[in-house]
Amino acid sequence: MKLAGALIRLYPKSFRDRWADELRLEAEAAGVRGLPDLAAGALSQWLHPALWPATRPDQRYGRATASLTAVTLATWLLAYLTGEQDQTAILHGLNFAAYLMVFAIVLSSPWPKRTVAALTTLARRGLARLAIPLLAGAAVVVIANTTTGPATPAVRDLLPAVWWVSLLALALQVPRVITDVCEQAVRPAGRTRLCTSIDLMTAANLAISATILVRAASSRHFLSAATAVVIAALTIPALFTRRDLTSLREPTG
Amino acid sequence: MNGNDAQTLVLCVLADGPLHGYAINTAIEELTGERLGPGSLYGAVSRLEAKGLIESLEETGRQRPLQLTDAGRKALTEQLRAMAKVAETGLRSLGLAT
Repeated sequence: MKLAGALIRLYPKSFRDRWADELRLEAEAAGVRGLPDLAAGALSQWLHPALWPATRPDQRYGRATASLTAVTLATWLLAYLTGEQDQTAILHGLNFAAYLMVFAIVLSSPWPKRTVAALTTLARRGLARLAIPLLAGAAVVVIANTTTGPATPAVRDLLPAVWWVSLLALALQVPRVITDVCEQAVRPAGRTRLCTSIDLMTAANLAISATILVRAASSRHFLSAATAVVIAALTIPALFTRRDLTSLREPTG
Repeated sequence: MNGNDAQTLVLCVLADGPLHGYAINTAIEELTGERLGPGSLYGAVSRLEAKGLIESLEETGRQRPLQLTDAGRKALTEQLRAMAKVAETGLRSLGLAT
């Protein structure tokens, strides 16, 4: 059952650490008929990070925060990309949603623990994950603002590519930093703050999606319309997380 | 079978006492005539544990027996009473109630 093993590897690590042996046993008993259910189970787990096995409630809140951050950054990246492609004043229409989104991020942000060890861990993990994309992005800004005269075709092609790859890398790595440090270095936001943050983020996502969709409809820009649909769809995992957070056992002690 | 059904079945078979994952599915098969898929079973188990409705006991070999918590027992009782009320009303409407 090589395929079953491959599908089990698609489950989140904390889930595999806890259930992989028993899941494998059950998959062997189910045979080929169990494979679609095994695949659906993996997808379902990724949509419910707050419910993954955890030893402390903080871990669940940390994972929920990382998931929300990923959704927020993905939305921002897609909206930014659409604004750049469209070359219109579309981003002005998104200002309100952007404020909502920033407020949602601030509200859901984990607070660093005020100890030297925690701050050192935070700085070390942050640097390890973010230094390269930050440096690459900064280099693009410096080159773009200091180069005089016409740029060579190679530079003209390379700079935007490096810029977008840096932004993508940042959007992928920031949630991973949160996951890395959520146990030792930061105190994740609690249920109330996270749920309020999800409400704000959902409102922001839908406002951004609607703005882009209206603009795309008037300019008949299919790619922008598709992006708007993807942005709206990004609210689905956030809403799953909200429901999961409210179903969790209240932390004690 | 949706996720909530799977969770109710797991709670239901654990009402008899602690079982490990494979035995839970065997008990479900005896109860309903079919086993849950592996993803559905462990998805349900993981959710119930996160909600504090079941908890694991000490590991025996490669498997951990699971048991209902007090909250799980209470949740199952409420759910079964609600289901029984629906069943009773439905059967009465069909003229099949005793």
